[in-house]
Amino acid sequence: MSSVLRTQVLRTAVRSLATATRTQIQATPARLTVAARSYTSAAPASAPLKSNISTTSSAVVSSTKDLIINSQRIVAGAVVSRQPLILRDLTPFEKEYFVYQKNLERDHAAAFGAEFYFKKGSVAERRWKQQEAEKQAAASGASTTAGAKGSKSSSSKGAASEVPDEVTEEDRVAALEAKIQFNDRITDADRKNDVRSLERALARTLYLIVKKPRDQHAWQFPQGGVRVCENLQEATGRELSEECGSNMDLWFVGRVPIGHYQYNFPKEFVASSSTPTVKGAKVFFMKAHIFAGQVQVDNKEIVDFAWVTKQEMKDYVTPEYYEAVQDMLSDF
Amino acid sequence: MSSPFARSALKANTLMRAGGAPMKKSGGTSLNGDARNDLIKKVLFDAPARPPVRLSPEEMTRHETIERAWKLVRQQQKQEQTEGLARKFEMMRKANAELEATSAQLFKHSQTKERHAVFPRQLRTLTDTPPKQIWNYRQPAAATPATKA
Repeated sequence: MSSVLRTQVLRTAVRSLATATRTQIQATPARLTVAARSYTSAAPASAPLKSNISTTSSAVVSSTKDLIINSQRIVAGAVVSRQPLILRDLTPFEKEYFVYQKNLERDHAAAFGAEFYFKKGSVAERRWKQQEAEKQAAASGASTTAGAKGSKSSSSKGAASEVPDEVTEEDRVAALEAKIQFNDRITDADRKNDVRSLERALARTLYLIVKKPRDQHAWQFPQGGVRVCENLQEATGRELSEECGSNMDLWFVGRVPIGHYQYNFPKEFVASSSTPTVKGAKVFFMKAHIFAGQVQVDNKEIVDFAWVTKQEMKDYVTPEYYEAVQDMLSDF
Repeated sequence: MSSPFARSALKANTLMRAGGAPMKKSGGTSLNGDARNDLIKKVLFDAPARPPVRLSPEEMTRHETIERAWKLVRQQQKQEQTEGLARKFEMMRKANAELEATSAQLFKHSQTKERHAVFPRQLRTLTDTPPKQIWNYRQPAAATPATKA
C-alpha cells in the first residue's frame, strides 16, 4: 500500500517538475515558440514571423481549396483594432469634481511642517512662501479688495529690496532644472482628419475597414475564404497579409471568434460565378491588435483603407452590416 | 514606524514635561546632540492632529449632493461598461454556437487554448500624453521575413 502511494507521489512530483522546467525553458513569447515548432516542410514562407498564428495544425500538403459547408463559403474576417494610446478626456463634471475634492482636502488638511521639508534660506523655501502669500492674497482678494491691495504692496516692497540676490539665485536654479515638455494630445492627424493615420484619436479605439473595388457594400472588415485543412486564425492571418500587406505587427487575441455574419450572394453573382452551388457566405470574425506598421493596399482585392472609431464606421459601412457587427466593437 | 527606542524616548519626554521639567535644548535622547533628530521626532510623533472637519448645514447638504451626483455618474459609467461587455460576450457566444454547428474541426481548434500563450509586451499602458514617436510606421521588409532580425 505504502509503495503504491510512494510511486504515485513520485509520479506526480516528476510530472510537476517536468512541467515546471518546460515552462521555464519555454518562457519565450508564444510567437517565437510557435515559429520554432513548425513541423511542416511546406510551412508558408509568407507567414509573418511576428504574429502568434498557430501552424501546428497545417497539413503537410497545403491545399488552396475553399472550405464550403452546406452551400455556404466559410469566411474568416479580421477585426483589427488599434487600442487607445492615451487616457480619455475628462468630462466637465469630472474636472469640476476633482477640483472640488482638491480644494476640500487642502482646506481641511493638517498643518504642513515647512521648516522640516525646506532647508532654511533655500530657493525652494522662498518659492513655497511666495506660493502661500499668493494663495492668501487670492483668498483675501475675493473678500476685500482694499486689504489685498495693501498686502500686495507690502509684499512687492519686500521683494524689491531683495531683488538682486533673489534673481541671480532663482536664475541659477532655474538654469539647472530641466523643463519637462509634454506632447500634444491632439495630433496633426486629428487636425487634418486623416482617416488612414494611426495617430488619430489617440484616446479612442480604432478599427480597420477596407474598401473593395465595387459600388455597393464596398467598405467592410478585411475577410477572405477559409481553405480546407486550415483553421480560422491561420486563415485570418493569411488573408490580412495578402490584402493588407505584411508590414503590420499583429497579435491575435486567442483562437475564439468574436462574432459571425451570414449573407447570401446576389442571384446574378451566383449564376455567373464558377461555383454556382455556393449560395452565400458565413463570416467568422477574429480579433487582433496592431502594435506597429501600417496597411499596404494590394489594389487587387482592396483599393483603400481607413482606421475609424465605432461611431465613424456608420458613415462607411452599410446599415445592415453595421447592425450585425456593432456589438463586437468597443464604444470607447 | 515608531521604534521601541523612540517610543520610550517620547514617553520619557512627555513624563518630564508633565512633571514640569523644562525641555533641554539638545533633548533627552538626540544622537550626538543633533537638533535635526529632534525635528524629525517632533514631525513624526508630536505633529498636531488633523483638525475635525466642520461644515455648516448648507455646506453639508451641498457636499452630500455633490457626492451623490458623483456616485450616480460612476454607477452609470459602470453600467454602460457592463452592458457593452455583455453585448460582446453574447456575440461571441452566438458565433461559437454557430461554429459548433458548422464545422466540428474548426470548432475544436477554436476551443483549444494555446499552451504557452503569453501577453504581448507591446500592450501599452495608457498615459496622459503620447510619446515623442507616437506610432512606429516601420518600413516594409524588402527581403523575406526570415532575414529580418
